[in-house]
Amino acid sequence: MKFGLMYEHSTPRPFTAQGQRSVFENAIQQAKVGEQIGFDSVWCVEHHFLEEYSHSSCPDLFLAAVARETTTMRLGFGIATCVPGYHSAIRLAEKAAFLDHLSGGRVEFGTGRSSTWNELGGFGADIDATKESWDEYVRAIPQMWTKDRTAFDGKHVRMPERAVLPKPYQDPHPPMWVAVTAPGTEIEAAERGLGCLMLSMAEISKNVPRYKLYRETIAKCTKPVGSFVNDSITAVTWMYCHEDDAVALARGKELFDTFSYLAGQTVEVSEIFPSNAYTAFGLLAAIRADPTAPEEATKKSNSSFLFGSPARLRETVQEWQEAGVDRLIMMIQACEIIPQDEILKSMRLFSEEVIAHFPDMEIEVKLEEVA
Amino acid sequence: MTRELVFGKRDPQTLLGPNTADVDVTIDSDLEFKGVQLHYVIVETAAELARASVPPSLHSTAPGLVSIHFWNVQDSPAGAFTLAMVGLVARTNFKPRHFIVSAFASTAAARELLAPRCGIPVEVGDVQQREYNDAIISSVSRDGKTILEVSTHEMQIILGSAAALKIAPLLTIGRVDGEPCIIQCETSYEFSNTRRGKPKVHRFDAQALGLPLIELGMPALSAHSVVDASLHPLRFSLDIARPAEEVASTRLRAAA
Repeated sequence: MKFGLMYEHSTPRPFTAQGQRSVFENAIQQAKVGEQIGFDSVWCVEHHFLEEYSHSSCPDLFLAAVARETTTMRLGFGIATCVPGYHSAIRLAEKAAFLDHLSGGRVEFGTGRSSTWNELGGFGADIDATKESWDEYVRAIPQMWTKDRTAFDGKHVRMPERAVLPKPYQDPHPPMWVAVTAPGTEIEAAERGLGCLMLSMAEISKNVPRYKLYRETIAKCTKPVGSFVNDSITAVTWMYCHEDDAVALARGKELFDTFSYLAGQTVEVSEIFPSNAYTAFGLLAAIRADPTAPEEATKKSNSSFLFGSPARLRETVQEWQEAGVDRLIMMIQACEIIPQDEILKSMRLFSEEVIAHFPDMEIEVKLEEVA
Repeated sequence: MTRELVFGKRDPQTLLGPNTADVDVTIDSDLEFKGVQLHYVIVETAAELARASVPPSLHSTAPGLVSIHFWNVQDSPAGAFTLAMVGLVARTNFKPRHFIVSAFASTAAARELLAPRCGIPVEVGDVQQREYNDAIISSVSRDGKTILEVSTHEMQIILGSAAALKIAPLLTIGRVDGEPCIIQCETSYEFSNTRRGKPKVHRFDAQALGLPLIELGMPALSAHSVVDASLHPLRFSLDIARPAEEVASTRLRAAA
């Protein structure tokens, strides 16, 4: 099991220059500390126009900053939006390769297609065509990375023969992933040989069948879109660790309530625009669904989140591991409601009391170095 | 630094009027309508205008979204009628809702049927939904003057699960035992077909529709569906001025 950090850069109102800057600076410091204590990766979302919820419009720039402050931390696009109007496929290939050089080959290239009306409507995207454009992008980008010159004649990616430069530092190219939220995307990931970046607020057990299906399908993948199969599952969750379980649960509730409040401002495209490209409620489905039975209205908070004492979190991580997940990437802040020193303390406790119980050769070495 | 929260800014008292409904919380059975022709239009508005148009117990979305619903009902205990509802897409905590500010029914019988059951502030008016070869046009007129007219063009049939529009539960301000509160009206829909098209708003009299501050922006969605709709008994009410995040909802009756 590997452990990473996930950033949305949620930013509290009122929006000020100093407030915005500290959101980014705090995240960079967390990444720097994270590397020293056993976290293996930093992932950063791409969002646009999502007031408070996420001011993370340029994840490549954030990851470049982290790259220069760290030496081993993997740097994940979580995700790069493969929709014309947001980026051309060429620009995404260039940015990822460029960052791969700045970081000495540490890029993880997550892909996806966005799910909010705020963003898709804001960019005037063709909502029905985002799955199609994503599919072309994930096939075209590895060609741009690995061929001296590339020509592409698709519906969404069209270019005469050109050399897309630089080529990535990693040989043949960075591992590729796709964000998996809507049911069925895990199959599309596996069929293309892409890593499964599971974004779900559902209970751990709920996604176990999807993980199994992914593993079974990717085992048969002989024609990955890239140069190799990335058979790996990374899942997003929340984390706050404290010696006192009750304190941690209360803090965790604050974090998730804040996230929920922020998410409330956004508009999922499926909420207002009927399209077969968006039939599910996306990441927020589990929390936004209304109770249909009395017992659902009083159900306990999500047990997949890592809120609690080290003992509780070791059990939860064990559950994740048994579910078949290779890496957990954790959101640890929401709108700066928890002071930075407290966040760092939570990370350190998690490292000492939880990560250390799930040994990974690379992580063990790093912990020794810090000691 | 104090964190600024984005709950609504509208004085709830401005949402009370002669059409505010006294709801009957003793109703304990569903009311079903077969084959309702549902015309559904969503148009963007400026986020701050939306925020200024919902009470402090709710929060609006950014961008703001005006929602317009027309129901053409062929058969009901009140006979045939057409209903129009106008409001804003809103949230209670993170739950999507439509906050209905004004409603118009084509018959008095429909108003008597719906107001106590849903809490929507129904006014009797000339409400129409007309289908042409190339468009669906719905309108509301009061005293001979059109106050709302929307249409859908260039329609395409939506197949698969997207045909089931995800219409959030309705919220509105009604009275329970004489006290104003926000009522949540839950509805289930069985969609038999859906067409999506380009929306046009020909007339939107914001004042007459109870949204005096609203100026319409980019149209977002227009769809027409044939649905079987079930209005469920009321289960929850909310404080009129304080958000559910602070005071939670009140259970009106045991869930079925």
